[in-house]
Amino acid sequence: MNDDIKKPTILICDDEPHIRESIRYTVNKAGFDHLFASDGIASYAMACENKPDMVILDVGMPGMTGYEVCEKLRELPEMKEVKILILTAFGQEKDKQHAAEVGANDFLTKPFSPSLLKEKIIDLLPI
Amino acid sequence: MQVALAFIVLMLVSMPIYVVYEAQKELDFIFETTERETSVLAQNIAINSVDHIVTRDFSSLDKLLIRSARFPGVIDLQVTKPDGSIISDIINTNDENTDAVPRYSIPSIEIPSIIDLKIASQQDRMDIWAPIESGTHLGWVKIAYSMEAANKHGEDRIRDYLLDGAILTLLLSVSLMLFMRKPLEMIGTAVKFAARLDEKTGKQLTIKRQSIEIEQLFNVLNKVSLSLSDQDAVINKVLKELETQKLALDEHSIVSIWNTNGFITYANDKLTQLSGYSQQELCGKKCLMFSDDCFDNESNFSFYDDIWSTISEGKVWRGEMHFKRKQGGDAWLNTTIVPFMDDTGKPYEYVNIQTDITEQKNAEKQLEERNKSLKELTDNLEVKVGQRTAELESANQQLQHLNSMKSEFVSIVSHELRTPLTSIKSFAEILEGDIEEIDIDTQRHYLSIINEEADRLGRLINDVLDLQKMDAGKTDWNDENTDLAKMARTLIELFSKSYKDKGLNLTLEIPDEQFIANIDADKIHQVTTNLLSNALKFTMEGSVTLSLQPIHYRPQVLVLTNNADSMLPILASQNLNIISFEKLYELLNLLQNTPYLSELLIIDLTCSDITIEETIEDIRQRDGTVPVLIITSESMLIQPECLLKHQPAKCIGLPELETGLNAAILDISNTTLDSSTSIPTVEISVTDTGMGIPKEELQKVFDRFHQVDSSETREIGGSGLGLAICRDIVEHYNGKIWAESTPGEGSRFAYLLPLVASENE
Repeated sequence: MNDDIKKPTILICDDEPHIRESIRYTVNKAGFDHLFASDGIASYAMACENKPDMVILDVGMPGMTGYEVCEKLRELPEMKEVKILILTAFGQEKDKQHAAEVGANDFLTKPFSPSLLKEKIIDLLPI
Repeated sequence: MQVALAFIVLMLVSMPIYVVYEAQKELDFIFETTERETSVLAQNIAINSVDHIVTRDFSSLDKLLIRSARFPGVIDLQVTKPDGSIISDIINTNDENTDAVPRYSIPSIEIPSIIDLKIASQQDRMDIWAPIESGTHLGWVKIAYSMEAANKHGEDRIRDYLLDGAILTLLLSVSLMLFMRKPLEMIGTAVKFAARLDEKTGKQLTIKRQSIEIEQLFNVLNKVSLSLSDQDAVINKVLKELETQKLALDEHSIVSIWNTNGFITYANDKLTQLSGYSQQELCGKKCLMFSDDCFDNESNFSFYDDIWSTISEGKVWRGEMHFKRKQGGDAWLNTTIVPFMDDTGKPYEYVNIQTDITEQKNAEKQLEERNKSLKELTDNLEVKVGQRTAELESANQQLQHLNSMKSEFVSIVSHELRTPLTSIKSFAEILEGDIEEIDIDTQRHYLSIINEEADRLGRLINDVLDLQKMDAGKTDWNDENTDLAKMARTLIELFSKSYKDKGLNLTLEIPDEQFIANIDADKIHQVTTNLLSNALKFTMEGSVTLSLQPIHYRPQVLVLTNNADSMLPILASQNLNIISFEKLYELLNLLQNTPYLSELLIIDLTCSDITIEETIEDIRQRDGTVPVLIITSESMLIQPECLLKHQPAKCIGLPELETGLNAAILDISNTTLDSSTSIPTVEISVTDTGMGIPKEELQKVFDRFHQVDSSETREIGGSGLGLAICRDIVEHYNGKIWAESTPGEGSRFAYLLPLVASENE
């Protein structure tokens, strides 16, 4: 991979540092750069500031839930196209529906397999 | 005709009276004349006899008297001396051919005392006296005069008059009869005609030429006859209609007529059939009662009173009444009583039209009874169903609440379980797949994460199990005398690294003394650990302080009153540790900001216009559990329903306050709250400079199952179990735990533990 070409960036938002680390590993391994945010408000701010190619949002974050962050981001014109993947520890059908309603591109239930996460990321951001 | 007759009778009666009057007048005249003539004769004799008496020539005197005695009507002539002794006495023989003769048989006569009159009248004779005077009184002349002739003359005159009168009367009567006959006949005809006008209506009198008045009379009578005939036709028609209607009414209804004294004067067949009494029995009975029991009670009396007062005012009365039949049994009648009024507007009789509704009434009665018993049954059933429904509803609500709490709990637990599991799963898979690519340090790091998260999972499972145990009352409490100061120091050491790692300052504020309590050290350790962990978790910068302070806890009672001068002394006499408020919002603010600070709220509504319901609802919105005692101005024997919904709460009336306050406090707060029996207590608190907690969350953070929106709870990051376990533990030792916070500046979590040491050790 050529270091001169700027890699696509993925913003990883989760209040759990260990989960952030596991996602970072998968994201880097798939060939993307990463950014971290550990609460809802930081997630929104970082997304607006850095305009990442993709945002992985945990639902259960302090400040704002992942759903709220997603909804707010979709309100911004420049965030209409950004890929958003929602992670939730509530694996019910209504959570999936909720994710679609707020404009997320995909949805993944905790606990998840890193390889599945990788697949979803590549699906959303084909190289 | 009668007039003519009366006239004649009048004539016949007046005529004799006139005649007698006239005759009497004539008679009187005759008497007067006779008397005058006789008096003149007596005076002549007296004058002429003077010489004879003086000369004592008695024979000449006799001759004089005999001459005078020939005067017609004279009976006898006497001349006396003044003492009455007879000088000469001549008797008239009443024979025209023989002279009067002297009489010698009578020696003297009595001289009448009233001689002025000189007359002494008898039936048929009159005595005339005249004095003989010639210088001296020489004696008397007395002439006895016969009234026979005068009387006879008078009678003759009367007879003449009577005859004249009779003839005149007869003539008058006859002429009157002749003159009046025709008009009288006509009037008689008219009278007869008028008398029979009502019988032979429409007939006409033939008008003959007569006086104008009679003709007018006839005309008027003819007109009357004609109009009567017309009216008769109308009346006949109306009568016929009435007859028909009466027939119809009699056929349909029970009809009776009452007089104004309340007696029946008419009863139709229907009434006799229904009542069982005959016409004769009914007529003359008091209309309102066929039986004795009509007035047997007050209500009946007033009922009949009402009827009478209505109809005697001329108003129609409608309603239902009943009477006893002769053969027994009640008859019910739908009744209309119509008063018939005379010209003065007073009722003169009442027509009572009734229909028999006995069967309908009986049916109604049966129905009513059935309905009543049915209603009783239904009511009972309703009450039971209501009670049961209420019980079921309440049970259902509890179940629903429990169920939703359980679902919430399961949801939270599953979320909390998934989080560490995610890390474990992720790193395990990463290590498994990429073990060759990852350097050894990273491998160790990832393995340590797996280890840590596994521990966390274990702790979470323990928490859930702890709660489960406490719920079931199966927790083991290994109480022993423990020095809480020592425990605090240990905890500070344990946490110092974690705090230092996060760049936070952790300090301990503790007086140099022991705080010995008979407690399960692990459990209290768990409480403080939980508080320190939370502080660490939610504080991004600044410091966290663990503090232990000895206090003498006095149960606080918050009192709302706008009548502090009279209310507070009463409450103070119960040794209550009072903080008083005048404004409800101040109290509500305190409740919201620092819940669990008071053991009891006393709300004095005696001088307030706030309702009990409003008050309790306002309080319960801020604090769902604090006991509330409401003082009302009036006695409260029954607790208002709104308080039952918001337990623990109670109302007490001002009159019962002094005697019942203690019992009421004990009743709702399970303790006397006597501030004089305060016990040594330690207040253990963890103060942070973290993000703070919104006011509305302050109470809820200790709830075992969060009632706030789940996502919010999770944003704070806790499972919601830690603090719930803390509260269970603290309350197990009769302590209190609460949170205070200024959002943005930090929070203070504190709990009180009574320092009760066991004497066994």
